[in-house]
Amino acid sequence: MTAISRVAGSIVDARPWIRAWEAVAERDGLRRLLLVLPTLVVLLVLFVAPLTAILRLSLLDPAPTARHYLEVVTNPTYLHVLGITFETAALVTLLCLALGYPLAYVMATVPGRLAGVLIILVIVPFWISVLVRTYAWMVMLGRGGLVNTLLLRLGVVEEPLRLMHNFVGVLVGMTHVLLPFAVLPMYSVMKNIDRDLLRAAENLGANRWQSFRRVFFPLSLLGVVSAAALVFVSALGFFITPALLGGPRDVLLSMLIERQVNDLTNWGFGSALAVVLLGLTLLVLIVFRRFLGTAAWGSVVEGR
Amino acid sequence: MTDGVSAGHLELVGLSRHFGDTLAVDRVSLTILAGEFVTLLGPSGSGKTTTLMMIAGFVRPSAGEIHLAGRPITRTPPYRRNVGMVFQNYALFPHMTVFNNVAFSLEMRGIRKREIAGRVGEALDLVKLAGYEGRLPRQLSGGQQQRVALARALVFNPPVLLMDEPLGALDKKLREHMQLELKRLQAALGLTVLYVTHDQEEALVLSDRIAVMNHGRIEQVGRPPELYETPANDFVAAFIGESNFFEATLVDRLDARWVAETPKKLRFVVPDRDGLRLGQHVRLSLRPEKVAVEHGTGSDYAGVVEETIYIGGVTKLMVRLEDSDETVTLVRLNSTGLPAIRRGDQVRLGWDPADVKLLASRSEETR
Repeated sequence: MTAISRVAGSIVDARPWIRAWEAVAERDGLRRLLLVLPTLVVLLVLFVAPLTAILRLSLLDPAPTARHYLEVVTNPTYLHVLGITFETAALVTLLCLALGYPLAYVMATVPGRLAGVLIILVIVPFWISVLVRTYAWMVMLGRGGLVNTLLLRLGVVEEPLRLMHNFVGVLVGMTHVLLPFAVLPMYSVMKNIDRDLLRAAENLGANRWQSFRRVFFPLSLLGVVSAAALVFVSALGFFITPALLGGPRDVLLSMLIERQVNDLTNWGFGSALAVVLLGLTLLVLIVFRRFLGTAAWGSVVEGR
Repeated sequence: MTDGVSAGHLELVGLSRHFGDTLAVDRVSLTILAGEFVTLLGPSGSGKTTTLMMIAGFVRPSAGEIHLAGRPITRTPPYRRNVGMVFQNYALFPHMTVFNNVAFSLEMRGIRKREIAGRVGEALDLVKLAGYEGRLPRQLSGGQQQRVALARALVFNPPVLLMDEPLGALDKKLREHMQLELKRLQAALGLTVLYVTHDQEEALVLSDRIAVMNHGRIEQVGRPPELYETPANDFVAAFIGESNFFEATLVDRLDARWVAETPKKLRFVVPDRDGLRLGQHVRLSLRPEKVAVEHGTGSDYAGVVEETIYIGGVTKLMVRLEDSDETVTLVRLNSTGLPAIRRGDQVRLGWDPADVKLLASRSEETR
């Protein structure tokens, strides 16, 4: 493996971290606790404290009350936004998996050097700000943008298509930004599938497609589920890309929160929305985790 | 059966494989008869696994042909070759139960469910794993995984079984046990087996015939005693068992025998053979267990014990000869009643001239 693919592997492969944690838990705790302490302090100050503040705001602003939460649950507008948020995240996840799986497959199966080039192509966008990438899409998708100009010149369309400030724009932008999060976990799992297993399948009479369907695909599911979890959870809280590429009707929960806090200075309600988003995200993670546990080695798929 | 050749008959004709500039397999020709157990024996990188991979169809030969039961299979894709294979690390499908692993090949062949259940049961009986159908591979020990791999490779009745160092991952005791069991199965089912290993002892235990490979070429093919007693060259002599090697020159002729002398003036009597001439440079091999030893002095082969290594049933002795300063290694049974020989003892050595083997020195051999 090239250096970069190794880096990519370690970014998404959580096992070393889990093992490190087990080591901490097992052996002489105190000395190791000291090593963890700086991070722990940073997390407490920058993460736990603000979270507690938000939780307090949502319940105590301006006086102890549950009305912010009641508002979220009873007002159809907010439920509608919640629905759009989940729908968008789900669609983006499906798009990322559909585009990412073949790409990860090629990366994991082509010979060394070409795989290295592909990995760089997947990782480079990571180093570019999301804002810059979103503006790039505005240049591409606008009325006089690259895509429309090309289509008009070729005579495919007679009038420019509406490609942004609507749901299409949101999907394109978010899928692009989140694609590496889908590709890398799937690549990491696929790369670790023992090639002898595929040889064994062929030796036993399976053609290429059968060995893919019966052996490679079930074993790659672990990566698919991690990829789906990563993309879905990231998409739930996405802000910049949908805000810039979406239309007036494509309001996601994160944008609603921003409006409550920045425009309406309604801190209590904004905080309640944030807590709801956080809670739902955790719920999704728990569901994925359960799925991940059972999908390990695909016993769900092949169980008898 | 095709053309009167039985199903298990496997023939390799001038098989070669390049990887870039390196020749991994160099014109290998070998015939494996139906029901025969043949082993490719050689150090790592000698081309034995590549040869096996070409037979299974995972590596395309650069040149040469493979015939199975008289039919060319050189360009047949792996999944249509119908060749059984046991992989080095078993390659059991980790997401499938033992049953599904063994049933896989039958499902691929479109066999009906009821028949599959019966045949999988038989195959698991054969390797003594009945009752383990529902387990996953990771819930089995190494030896059990090995048996599943064997059952999976046998269940579709392949005419030939290829095995790539299948016992390498097991500990010594289990390995020896599995060797005997494999031998029993092979005899009972009349299997044709092509086995790959770097372990000379394993090859001697299992094989009807052994093909010793080095640098992609077959150095010698023969039954185990032939290879051990009359190795064709110094590589084979060194790889199978241990030996004392001497570089020597033919200095004299006595009737039908030659006298060979090493640069340090140690003399051997060597049986005559075609093509030997006076002054010729030869390589000699003398197996350690062919050397007799007793306390004493005053012989051509008298010396001092420099080292003794106790290995349970036998003791290995290294003796430096007085006259010639050559070192001879020998092994001696640790039988009760024999006087112990210790380091520093004065000893006399002796051997039957017929046990001194002339080797084709590979530097002189025409390639």
